[in-house]
Amino acid sequence: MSFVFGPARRTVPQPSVAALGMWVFIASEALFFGALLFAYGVTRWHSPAAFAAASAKTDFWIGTVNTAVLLTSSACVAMAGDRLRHGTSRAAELWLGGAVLLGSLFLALKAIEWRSEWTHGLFPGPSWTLDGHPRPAAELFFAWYFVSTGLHAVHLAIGIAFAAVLATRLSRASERFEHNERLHAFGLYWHFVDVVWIVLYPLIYLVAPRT
Amino acid sequence: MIDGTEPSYLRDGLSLRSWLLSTDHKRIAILYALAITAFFFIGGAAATLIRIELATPAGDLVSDDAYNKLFTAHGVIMVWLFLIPSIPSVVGNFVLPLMIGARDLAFPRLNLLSWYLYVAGGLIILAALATGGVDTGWTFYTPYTTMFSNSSVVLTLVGIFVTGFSSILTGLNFIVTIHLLRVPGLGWFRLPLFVWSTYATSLILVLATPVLAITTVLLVAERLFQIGVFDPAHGGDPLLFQHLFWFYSHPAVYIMVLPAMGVVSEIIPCFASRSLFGYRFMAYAVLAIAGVGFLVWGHHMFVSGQSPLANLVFSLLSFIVAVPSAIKVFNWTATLYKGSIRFDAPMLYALGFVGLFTIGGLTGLFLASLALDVHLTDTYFVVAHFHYIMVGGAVMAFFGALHFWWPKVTGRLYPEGLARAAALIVFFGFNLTFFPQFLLGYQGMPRRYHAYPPEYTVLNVLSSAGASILAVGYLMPLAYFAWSLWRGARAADNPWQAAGLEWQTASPPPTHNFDAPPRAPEVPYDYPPRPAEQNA
Repeated sequence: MSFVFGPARRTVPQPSVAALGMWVFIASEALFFGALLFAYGVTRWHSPAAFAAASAKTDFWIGTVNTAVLLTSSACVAMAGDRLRHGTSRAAELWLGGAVLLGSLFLALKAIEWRSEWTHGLFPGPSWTLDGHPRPAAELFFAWYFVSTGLHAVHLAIGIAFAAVLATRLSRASERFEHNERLHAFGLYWHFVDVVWIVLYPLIYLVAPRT
Repeated sequence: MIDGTEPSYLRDGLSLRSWLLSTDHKRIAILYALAITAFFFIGGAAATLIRIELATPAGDLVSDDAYNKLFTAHGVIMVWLFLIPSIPSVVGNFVLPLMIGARDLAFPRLNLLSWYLYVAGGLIILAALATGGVDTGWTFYTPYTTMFSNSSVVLTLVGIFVTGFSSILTGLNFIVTIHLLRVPGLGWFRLPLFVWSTYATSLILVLATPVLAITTVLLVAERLFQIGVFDPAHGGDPLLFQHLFWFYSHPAVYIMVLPAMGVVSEIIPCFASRSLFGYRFMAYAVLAIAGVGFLVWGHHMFVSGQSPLANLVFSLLSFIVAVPSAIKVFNWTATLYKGSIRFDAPMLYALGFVGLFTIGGLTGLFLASLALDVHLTDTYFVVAHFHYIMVGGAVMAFFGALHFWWPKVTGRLYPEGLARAAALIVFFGFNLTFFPQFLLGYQGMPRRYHAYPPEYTVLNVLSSAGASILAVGYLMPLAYFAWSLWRGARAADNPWQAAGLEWQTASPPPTHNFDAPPRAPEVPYDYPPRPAEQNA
């Protein structure tokens, strides 16, 4: 075994491996959510009025506040990357911690929203009604709502766990460069989950004109 | 078993743990090979029962209900647990890093995770079969699947969902590896076609599989909670399921056949001792098939009631996808021209692939023709057509790949005479099994019935007889490959005088793949000039 060329001898520095891997994963995720949006498009095209009526029952304010919360969390992640590039891993940890808190706040608000929808009987099931009338297509809107917000929440929870692990490791690192790139890849994921919400938000809350 | 003085990846740790926790792409390839072989024979057992049932017109061996479960099990296992992972995960895992001179894949631990996900998904599917089976067909059409079937639909879909993650992660790993880990000097147009086709396959794995994933999520939600997305009573649409399903499942055909094309593009130049004809067009054709393959799914739905305009467009696009496929067939044939051809077992499989793929592809054009499809849809013509692609194409190439790279993987030679005999038996048995099914379909025998009118008896008996010959051809390699592990002659580093980088290292390779960095070739498929040219 005279000459071993290991991971160090790659045509490009290893870190961009993580970033490219994340981009490919995001492409895959885009198709995952894309098919969900396609299903929304088809069903809403079949029953536009029912979708508008159902959308009017969603909690516009929680949705809007949550959008702001999530956008701010993305700013935190961007700041964490910026701080780490400038070599201040302590500050980067704090910004990441901020993203964890805001992400958790989003999930908490989402849970409150789901709970209130559950108590108002908006969760799909037998003998579902909208204002006392059976309206199957509006029920379908809520089914889609719970599936898509549920999947989004799962993605966000994974992102929060990811951020928490990363935050504890930033200062431990001897190889700052590698962590910088890991943070970069993580940031791509976080922003993607954010973008998914930005698409979901109008489709859920802004279908009907509100007074 | 495999010994020798050279340190090889096979001798780098002999415990079970050193295999099950290995992140070495070569060991993971072996893990895949073992699991896939098991599933292949389980799926094959279901096919055997199907063919025995169809040997007589009366439905006398199994009930119609059991028959539904048999062909569903056969389809689900063969598609998701054998064909889709077969060449990419076994052959690709082993030779892809070697072909580009890399130490391993970009994400070795993710690679191991992919195997565990695959096995977990496979076991869940087997559990579904053990707890009553599924009777929906591998296509899971709504509303039967969501409203009427009384079988383990949900568990099977969970298994497919988990297996899908394995596919996505494998594709992701390959894409990043091919982009970033090529040995210096190995530009894109010096890559072997197998790398190109694995790359194109990986794109499909990454971009189509997530659509299947979300579709299974919706299907499970529909079945468990009646959310209504595929139910017209709720404003949903059962055809939406078919669109989403075929958006994945048609490209999935190319997941199966593109890697097979890559294998054949490695074998034919080697055994013809000729550089691959039209290399760049072969690479472009692979990408074109992957790209256009995303746009033809509607040809599975010509009789579903979709609009005539949609039918027309999907029909046209299906004809267009035949163009790059034809380029490949012509270029393989042109590669043979004036070559000095050796008819070793890998070459027999590769030549078999070219012939059978051509038949499978051309009959695909019959089915892409709208008027003909109305007559042929859901008949045995369709069954024969896709088996010519999947078995005559993908499985033939998989066996060719196993023989071609066997010396590299194990450091042993298999018995050539037996292997050639097996290849011929497979070719003969395959054609006897599936060619009569074209005639049956043309005569109007529908698929998915366990009984049929007596006028179809002769062709069905021929088909069942062919299947038993095919089974012999598939069992033979199992025996002589096992034998060669202990008794086979030692293989040289490059027993076939092949040109790829994987032949520049030892057989079997060391764990770190190359002792010295391999030389990137000036041109791909740098085969020596043929003797006639030298004489002239």
